[in-house]
Amino acid sequence: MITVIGFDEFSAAGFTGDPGELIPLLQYSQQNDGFISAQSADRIARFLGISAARVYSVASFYAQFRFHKPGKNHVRVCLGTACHVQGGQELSQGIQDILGIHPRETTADGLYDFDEVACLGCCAQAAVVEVNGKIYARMTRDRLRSLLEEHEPA
Amino acid sequence: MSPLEQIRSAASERWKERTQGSLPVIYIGAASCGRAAGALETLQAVREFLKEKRKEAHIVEVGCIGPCYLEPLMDLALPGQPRVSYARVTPEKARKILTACLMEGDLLPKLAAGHFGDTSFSQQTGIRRFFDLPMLKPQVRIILKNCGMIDPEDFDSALAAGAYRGFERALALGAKGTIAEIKTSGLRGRGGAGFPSWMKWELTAAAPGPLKYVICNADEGDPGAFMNRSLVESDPHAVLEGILIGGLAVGAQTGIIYVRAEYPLAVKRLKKAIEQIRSNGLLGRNILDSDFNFDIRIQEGAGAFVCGEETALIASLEGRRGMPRPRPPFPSDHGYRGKPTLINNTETFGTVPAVLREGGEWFRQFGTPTNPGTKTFSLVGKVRYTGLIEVPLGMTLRQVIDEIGGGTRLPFKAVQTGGPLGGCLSAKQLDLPITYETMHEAGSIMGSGGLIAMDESTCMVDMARYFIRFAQSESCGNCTPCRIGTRILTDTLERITRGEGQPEDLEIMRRASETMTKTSLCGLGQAAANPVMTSLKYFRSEYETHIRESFCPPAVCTELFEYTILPERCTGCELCKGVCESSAIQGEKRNPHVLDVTLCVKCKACVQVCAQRAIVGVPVGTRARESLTGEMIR
Amino acid sequence: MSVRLKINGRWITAERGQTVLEAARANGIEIPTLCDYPGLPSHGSCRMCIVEIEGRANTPTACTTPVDDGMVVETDTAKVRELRQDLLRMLLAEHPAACLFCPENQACEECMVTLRKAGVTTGCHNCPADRQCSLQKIIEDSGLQSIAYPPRYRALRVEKYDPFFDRDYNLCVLCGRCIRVCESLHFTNILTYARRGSQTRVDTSFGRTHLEAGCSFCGACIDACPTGALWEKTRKWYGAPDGEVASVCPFCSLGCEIRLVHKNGSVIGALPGEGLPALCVKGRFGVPELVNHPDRLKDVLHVSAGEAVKSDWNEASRLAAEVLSGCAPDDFALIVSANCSSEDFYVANKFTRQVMRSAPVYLSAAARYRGGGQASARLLALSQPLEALESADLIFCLGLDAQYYQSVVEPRLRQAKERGAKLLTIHAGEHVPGRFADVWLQPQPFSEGEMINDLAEGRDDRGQLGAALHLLSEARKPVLIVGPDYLARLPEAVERLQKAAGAGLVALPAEGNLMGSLRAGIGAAPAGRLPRVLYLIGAALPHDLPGDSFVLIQNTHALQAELPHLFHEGLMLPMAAFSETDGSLVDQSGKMKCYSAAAAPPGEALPGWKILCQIAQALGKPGFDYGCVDDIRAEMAGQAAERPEISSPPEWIAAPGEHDYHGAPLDKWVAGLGDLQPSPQEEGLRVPVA
Repeated sequence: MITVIGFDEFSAAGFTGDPGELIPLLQYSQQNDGFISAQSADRIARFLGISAARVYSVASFYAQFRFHKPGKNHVRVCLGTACHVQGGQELSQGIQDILGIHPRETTADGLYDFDEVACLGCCAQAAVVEVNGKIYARMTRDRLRSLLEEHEPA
Repeated sequence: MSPLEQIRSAASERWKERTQGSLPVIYIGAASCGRAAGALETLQAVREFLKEKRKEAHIVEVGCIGPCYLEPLMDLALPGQPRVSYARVTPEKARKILTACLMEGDLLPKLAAGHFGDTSFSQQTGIRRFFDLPMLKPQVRIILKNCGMIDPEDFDSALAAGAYRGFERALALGAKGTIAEIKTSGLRGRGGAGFPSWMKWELTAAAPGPLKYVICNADEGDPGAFMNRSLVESDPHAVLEGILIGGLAVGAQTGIIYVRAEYPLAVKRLKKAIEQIRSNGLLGRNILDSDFNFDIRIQEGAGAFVCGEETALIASLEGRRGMPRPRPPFPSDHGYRGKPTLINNTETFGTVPAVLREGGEWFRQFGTPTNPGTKTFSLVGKVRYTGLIEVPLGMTLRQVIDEIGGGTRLPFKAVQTGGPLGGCLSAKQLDLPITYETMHEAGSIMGSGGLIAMDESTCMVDMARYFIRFAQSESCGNCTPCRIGTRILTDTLERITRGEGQPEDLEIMRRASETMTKTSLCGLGQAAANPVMTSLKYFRSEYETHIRESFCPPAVCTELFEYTILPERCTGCELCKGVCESSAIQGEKRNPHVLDVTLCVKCKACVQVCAQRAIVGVPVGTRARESLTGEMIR
Repeated sequence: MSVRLKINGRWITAERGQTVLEAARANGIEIPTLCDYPGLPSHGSCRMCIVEIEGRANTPTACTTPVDDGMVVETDTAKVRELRQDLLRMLLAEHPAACLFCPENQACEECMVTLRKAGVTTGCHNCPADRQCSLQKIIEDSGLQSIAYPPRYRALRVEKYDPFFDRDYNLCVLCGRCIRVCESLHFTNILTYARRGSQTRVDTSFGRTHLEAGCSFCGACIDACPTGALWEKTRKWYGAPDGEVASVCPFCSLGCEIRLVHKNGSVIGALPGEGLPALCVKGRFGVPELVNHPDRLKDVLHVSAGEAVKSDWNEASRLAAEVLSGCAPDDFALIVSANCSSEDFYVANKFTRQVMRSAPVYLSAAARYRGGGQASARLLALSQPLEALESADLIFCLGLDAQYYQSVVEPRLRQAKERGAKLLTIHAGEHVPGRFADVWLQPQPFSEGEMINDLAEGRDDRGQLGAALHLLSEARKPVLIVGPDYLARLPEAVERLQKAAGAGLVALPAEGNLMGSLRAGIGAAPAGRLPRVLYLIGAALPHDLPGDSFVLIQNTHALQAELPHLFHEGLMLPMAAFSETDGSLVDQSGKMKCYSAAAAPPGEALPGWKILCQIAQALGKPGFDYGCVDDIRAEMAGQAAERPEISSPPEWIAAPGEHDYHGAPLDKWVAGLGDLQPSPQEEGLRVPVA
């Protein structure tokens, strides 16, 4: 498309504008912004020459994409089968109680966002909680508070 | 000598220099599971120790060797001696071991989990062989041969271990010969359906058109399964080699690895491995001076279980919603971008190099005539020894759970095979051999290899609810029976676990399950009701207790039990009192404690710390009834 | 190549590549479907068409299974019926079922006690789709007697914030027909699936309103919806219509075929004609609101000394005859709207010539056209039908909005693009072709003509212009498609470009029957002074009318409530709208299109030509005794087509608003009132707020 201008950033990141790049582009956007905003979805749609509806449709299909601004710390609790058997649900409830938010939400002070994930693949270490990409193994409810406090600013 | 052979012999030299030279070698199992257990902290402690003590040693980060329950694992090989493995190595423990071994020459046999040498070393030191551990002894390691043994980021170590020998043989055999070898091996798709791999290969090879694709499905979506992650993190070249062989056999030019974004380490190691083989002439034009041109790229999945279904996976690769489409046409005719496409699971590709290297006949010696070879499983849940295992097909579930897994601590109750679309099998099915057919007949599936053991503390209604809720949120939502059926089952099961179940709910669930199974478009919808149907079949009484007595015997469904402390078991250790955030537990030290049900929020914190298992679930109102009767008697 | 297969014990022949469903239908075997829709590929989501096929384990869907030689299919076994019923039970777990299984179903209308037991929009016979619902029909046919699964109402908010239609996704069965039809018609679909699993919904991007999302309101999604989830606001509670009448949309020169839906003697909706995928917003939603508008002129009114008094046709004709008989030819002018029927034009022409012997009929639209439309008329003479786009290898859109206006062009542009044709567009603001064009030339507003001239002369070969020139020079079969604004405002520039590029031309004037008026010899007449007696047929009232004027206003609508105060003496003559009379018009490619009455005119209103005839007869003139339009057409057929003399119109002719229909402003639409706002940079180019 000749009229497309201002997509240098996408091009520089190696994207060519093929609609097959939609998911990698969404991942790229989310990596930069922390979430998929309506504006970035529109930009991707124009870059790929597809409808904004399709971008939203695809983004909302996959569990990876968020539509809200993330918090400073990312807390994720694994609800894979092994973690479920080892009490993942209690961990999730515990985190919700401590932070006062539901999955896919961010605390009012912007310090934490929280989500449940299908499986982190560390089933033999169940139950696991991930904070900022680091996985904490064999978690129990009584260790949650101290784990979260570790990540609070001094 | 072929160009690759030259590279290989130089690489072997370098790897030997690194691991069998004059310096001690420290191996750290640093796959994701090891890291979760603290491997990186241990590694850091090792580095600091060496620096502090001015000791020289090679540090090798290896992948996952399997017994995750021992993580973090640190191995040590003194010059001229075999590797000795130490389990659950915390930073402090690492310092202790290193001090003893490196400074004093003491291998601390009591701390050692096992060694990798021959039996004479056992006699000499009193340390047993690592592979003689009860968890490892019954296993046969073909796919996992290199896992935990090589450095997954060091191409030298892979080459030294024989990587790409299978591909060289495939080049020599040609496309037809390669497919014939796969046919001889009887290898079946390891993604779960067990479709004979050679057939897929042959169909794709026979499909017209010059442009073809190979797709490796590493979007391991099963919660509770991590075979693919472990394999890719520990031996990425095995997978790449399999893809190369597949590409050669079907005449493809491009390989795509669709890998979960939740597996960042796997992605990193794959990328690195691809660069390594590209720079060594194993990717690109005229690979190893043949006329085979091939390249491999990675695309990260974005989190959708249904993308394990091949047409949904292709949709996802094409930038669309991962919705399965009706077949035919099959991907072998009309796949990625409408071109013939070979899609196999990571493990299938991981097995292929061994088949080519050692021959199809060799592969057939393992397993059963209709289910040849070995299969990896992630053995998790309530067994003693959790981790990644590889066993010949046809082994019984009992062997896997009792011998390899070391049994459960509490009495065994059920095993879920095949992931969320599989079935919950009871103790009565434990003597079934694990094959595609027996699993199917029992109402479950082989699946990609998740094995989740459950003991008496697991509630089967809750498990069924868990699985169906997973299926509900992972359904693509396209076809009626799956979209609404999973919702109906979830709602019904949630009502039962809340104590609002009705006797007719069981019939409602049976009928919805049947309609889903018979009318859904794809495998997800057809199998989503399996956990419900099998648990209804094998654990019906548990449903009935939930519905008729409003009681959850394993004390899982929060509203269907209350906790009480058995005075005959309680030792008054005060641990439970310490962890209770609701101050529901009272009692003097060394005296039986009492739990106030009106304050208890059933967070289970006390149950987790009680070594006496004195805190148990009883039907709601038991305490009140007891005190009432007590008062009346008085 | 054909194959033989057995369905329900009967051997039939089918073509390879057909699905079992197609083969069954072709042989009169009915299989129920919900997600299947004409013109869309098989979807296989509702699973309603499951069948048993020998040798297949499960029950595959007929719509996704290709026929095979020797295939044995059973479509109506006990097993299939039970599974189908269970699928319907599942759907009813998420869809209100009061219209089906309420114990008071039959007695409801008598007792009315249960009128409100279900939400007004969700239950009972108050569902807009009652008796028009595919789901309702399939369930009744299936013999299902009750719901079985615990129902769950989705409790979604009914979306009412967009004009023209409401969306109640509590009634949605997720067949995806709306989504797929939106995708098939538009380059940038508005509707889509959002989320997944049991959370799957039909939605717009980020839940925007349809207006924000850029919807053109073609209404195809409503036509595709099998339930009451999508429904027009204007006919939401009418129930099943009495019938349909084939007609022609008069709202622009494309003259799309439409079906007028009527109930109880009124037109309640307009649907695309057979075989047409969609209409534009005006055609789809505008008709009932226009013809049933409260401002319709229903009575014959005599305006005397600024006071309107109810009169009748006899009295009015007598009065008109009295005024006209004493009127000198140069004291009289007749001005028509370019939206009148060809028959009206003919009779009006005859009236001025034979009755009044005055100046020719004036065309109000001429005031909108540069130079009275001389250059535009030359372009119109070259205009081809939209089918010309099918063979083009380059399409150049000039000032073509295609969103709220003439949006039926979009699917054709899309097909051309998919075929490999290049697409250029020139437009100052956001517009539909700009969303997917290869090159979008975006001039400053009102400098479009310069840019087109630059292109015609090949000036400036850099940047966007250069890219456009390059594509133009490479095209072997370019076609220009000219929107109403450029056609009226920049005809010379367009003409220059058309000649330079050697391109085909599709001109799309705004007026429904401009071509008809030109054929009838009606253009603008030489300027002259404002005559004392004016006869306005659908045309607007000139400004600064002298106090002694006598005005005959013949119109469908009373233009403004205060209208009688704008002139002191005259008549207001109620005219039938296109939906209330027979007539014909000539579309932008010169093709004559006939329409017929679908409802009776309101009050005293009469067809336009009939009013003229009455007055002529009152004046005692012969030759005005037509019984019906066929009589007029017969007479017209005997006469040679005329070429009008075109010159700049006299300045006292008020230019009509671009979207006027018989002079009535379309912004009075009930459902769309005030909602379609023109964007600031292109004031006046958009629909329909004046």
